[in-house]
Amino acid sequence: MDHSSRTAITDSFFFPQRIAVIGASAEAGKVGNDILRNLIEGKFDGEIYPVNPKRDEILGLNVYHSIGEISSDIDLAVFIVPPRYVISGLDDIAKKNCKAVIVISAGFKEVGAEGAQLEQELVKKAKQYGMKVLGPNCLGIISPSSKVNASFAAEMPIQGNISFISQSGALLTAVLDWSMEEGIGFSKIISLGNKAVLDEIDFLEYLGEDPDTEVILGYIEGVEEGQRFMKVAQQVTRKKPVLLIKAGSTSAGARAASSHTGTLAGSDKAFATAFKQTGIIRIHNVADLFDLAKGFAQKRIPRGNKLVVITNAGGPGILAADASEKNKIQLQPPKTEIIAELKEALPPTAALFNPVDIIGDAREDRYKNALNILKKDRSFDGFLVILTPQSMTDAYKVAEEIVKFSSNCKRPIFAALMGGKLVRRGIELLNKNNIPNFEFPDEAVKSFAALVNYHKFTRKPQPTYREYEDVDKEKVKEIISDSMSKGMFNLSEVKAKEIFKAYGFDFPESHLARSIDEAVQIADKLKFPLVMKISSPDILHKSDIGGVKVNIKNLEGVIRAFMEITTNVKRKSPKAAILGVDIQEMITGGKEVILGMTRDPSFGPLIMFGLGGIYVEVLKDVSFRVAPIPVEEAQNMVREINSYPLLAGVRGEKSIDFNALYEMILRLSQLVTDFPEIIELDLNPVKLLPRGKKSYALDARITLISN
Amino acid sequence: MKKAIYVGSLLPYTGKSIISLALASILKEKGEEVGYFKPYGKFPVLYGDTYVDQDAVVAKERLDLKSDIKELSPVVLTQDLKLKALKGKISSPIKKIKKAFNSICVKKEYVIVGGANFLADGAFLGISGYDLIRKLNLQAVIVERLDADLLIDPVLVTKEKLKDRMIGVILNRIKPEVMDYVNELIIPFLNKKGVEALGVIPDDPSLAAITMREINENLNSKIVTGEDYLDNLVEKIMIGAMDVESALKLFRKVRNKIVITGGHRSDIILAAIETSTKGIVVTGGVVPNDLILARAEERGVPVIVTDDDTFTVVDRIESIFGKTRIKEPHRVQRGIELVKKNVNVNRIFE
Repeated sequence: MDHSSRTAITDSFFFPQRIAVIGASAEAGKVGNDILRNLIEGKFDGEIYPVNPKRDEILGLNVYHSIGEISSDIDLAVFIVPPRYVISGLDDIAKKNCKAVIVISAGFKEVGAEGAQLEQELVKKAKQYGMKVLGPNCLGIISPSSKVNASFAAEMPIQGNISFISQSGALLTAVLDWSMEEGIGFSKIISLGNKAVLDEIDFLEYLGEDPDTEVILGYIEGVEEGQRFMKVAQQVTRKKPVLLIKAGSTSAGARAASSHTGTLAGSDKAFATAFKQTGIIRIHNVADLFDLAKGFAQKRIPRGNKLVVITNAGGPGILAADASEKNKIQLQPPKTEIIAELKEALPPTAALFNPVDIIGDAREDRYKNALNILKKDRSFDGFLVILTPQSMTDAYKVAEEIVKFSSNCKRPIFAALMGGKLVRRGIELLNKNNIPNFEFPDEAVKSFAALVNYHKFTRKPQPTYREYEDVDKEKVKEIISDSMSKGMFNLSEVKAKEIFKAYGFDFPESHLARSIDEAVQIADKLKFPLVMKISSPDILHKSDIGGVKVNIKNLEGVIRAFMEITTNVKRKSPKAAILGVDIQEMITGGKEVILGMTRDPSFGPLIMFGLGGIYVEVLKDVSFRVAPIPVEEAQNMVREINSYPLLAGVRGEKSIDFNALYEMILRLSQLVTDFPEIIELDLNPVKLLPRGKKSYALDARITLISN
Repeated sequence: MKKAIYVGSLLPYTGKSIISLALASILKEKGEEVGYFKPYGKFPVLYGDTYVDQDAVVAKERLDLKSDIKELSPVVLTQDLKLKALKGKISSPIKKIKKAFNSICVKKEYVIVGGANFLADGAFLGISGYDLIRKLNLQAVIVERLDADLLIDPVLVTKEKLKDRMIGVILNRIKPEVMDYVNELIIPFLNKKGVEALGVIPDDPSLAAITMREINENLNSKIVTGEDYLDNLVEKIMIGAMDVESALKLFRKVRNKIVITGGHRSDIILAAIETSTKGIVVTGGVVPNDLILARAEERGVPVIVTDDDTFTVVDRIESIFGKTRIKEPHRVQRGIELVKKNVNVNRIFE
């Protein structure tokens, strides 16, 4: 096979000819022994060079006393020696032109300051020699197709087309053991360890190009380069499904993850958003991971979401129906002529709609007939065959019929042979033929739904990005550096608005009145009604302390508002410095929304959108995207909120100008991408008006990073 | 002698000690014969065999003054002095002060007289700032901060009392957000009232900063990592008790802080060291795991552990915050820079 076109990671990890095992051990039960044994027992067909200064022969292989003794070049080096010997070993192995290294050894950053320093040395050496290093503190790599088991896992797994990347070595061993029993096959298995050099992104990229991998699974606890991760994921998910478990989704979990990895993981919200935005399928537990993977591994693609269920039992059929609705899968009845045909072929008590219940006494021939008739109905996008073991059912023979049926069926097929001993042989047959079987019908439906959603995603056009040329980047740069040099990290409203204006946002004209006289003078020149707001560097949430008055209709109202606002603030926030009161014209009508941004430690700028007021505060009806946001995602994030219909107009109301809103989101995305110094901002509220009228942001807040 | 200038304030911790020393240093740089005098001190330190005021000790060393320390700091408030005075067992030390002052003034062009905490200080001994200005025939520079109302009432009262003896006022520790307000409203108003503004000095958090070493000594805690970074300067205290997401948001907004949290809160500790943090206090005696300590070490953030609870720790650190004396050289240096840049020094000395 020609693998020359593959990405950055050298193929030597998976297709080496010469492997050196540094720290090979003669003692059974030691990792250095396990790895050597695994390579031998996995029937690796290249050369193995065990290195051990004190032995001459291990497991029948000639042992080298040092790396230097090996006369040929090395493709892959596996280190199982204490950390300091790993560092010096890298110098020796570099002389053998080796570019792929697996460091199994523990004792690096996970053990404290000294280990962290060794890990840094390791990274330095890797850079110096242009080496790719997996680990340290990992389980290794397994590639059943190329017969490489450079790991200390117990056994070589079955060959298949699923690849698995894991940040937890221990979880990997458990999963492998279980996969053997389930009959799940793997193409490549990678244990990431401390991710000193190579991380999940490198392998994601590699597996995306790997012709032997159909489905990529992963268990990760954190991502350090979120933006790079998204860029790679966006490409890979269009080629093949990527299913990831992100552990640490609760605060207790996140805490455990940070103790485990020593890095601060991004927020769960950011992960959920990044996954959604890049088409990664997020999985919440290990069982689901493989349930969904099985569905994908069969390589059949659904065109739509219409499933037909064939069952020999009513109850499981109903469970399938419930699961379908919950997962937005349609169970429509077969076409009229198909129903007629089914009626001919099935007993009178059979249920002919969907689920199609072929009754408890069904034998394999009835399954076969029903399947073949339903196959003629081209409106179905997938098949689910349910079987419960009745006295006359032969699960194995039914499985045989399903396999036969599958041989010339391009639509995905799911089976739920339910039970234990009675169905075991049938399930084994299905596994062998790559037909996913599930313990219960709802899992099968979930797997189908994932397939449907994924293929819907791949049919979407590639994301497009828009950059606005009319922004004044220089001006923003100036305001930011000036503020930072003065130690002002919470920008004043005036400064914040200047920044937004430079990026094309409009605000109603606003004037600072320091006294009632000034207020009256200003109000005289404006059009009523007016809005008045406290101006104070110390107050972020103005309305909470009575610092905002709206709908002021005349000069008397202006005077009253000035007094009320300033006394309210004085009373409720006595330490705040009051600079005066801002006066502006009030924008009437339209809808209020909120735009905001916080910076996530993994993914960077996370932009939030929601309908203003109670919708955000009480109902938390908001959507998120990671910037830079493509045009399509700006639209999606608006449609995603539950109160979206309110924006489109209900009961005769006019719809807001959606294009203006999309543009605001994209401009905001551009601003926060251009200026990483901005760590938090809010436009709250933004007043959206119907098409033809200008939309305005009414209030703005920007916080700069204080490092 | 040309002039003796009393530098006083109406509130404690306005930055008057640093400004006094800065003024003296600036004069010295100009080649003037300058003296320093601290007639009444409230922070006794042992110098040789006698208790004197700390500011006087720093000034003597910094300005390389030849005068006897007992003359530089003739009266310092000790428990003993307080009791004797309250019981009426001693007469006013004003004579002692006058004598010391006269000796200090010999061969000097200028003498900077450092006030006590605030002008009224020492009235019970008959040596308040007001008394001294009059009896020693001094000119006064008043250093003030703004209160929450952005008003300067006490300055006006003092002007009425001191009349022409008051040269003017230096507004110190002014936050950047209210700078415009001060320049456009406060200063013109003061001028109208006959109070000259000699300068407006922006707030500089680094001056109020304390070192991790000072904190560690104060808490009696144990250093578990980052021993080499105890000179880190801390400006703010934050408590890490919230979820990590909120913590990160808050931590990013505060520069040069110390974070107080529990040893099991790896997430909070990581969030802290990802942001501008100069030290971490772990309460409750639980030492964080090695992986986390390694990260802290890598980022130059010392971690200290104490058995105390969070409230006690905050209370103790607060008690030393912003009240640091001037003994650390970086503070004096920064003070000189700020005074040179923002104060009309010539006006004071003319």
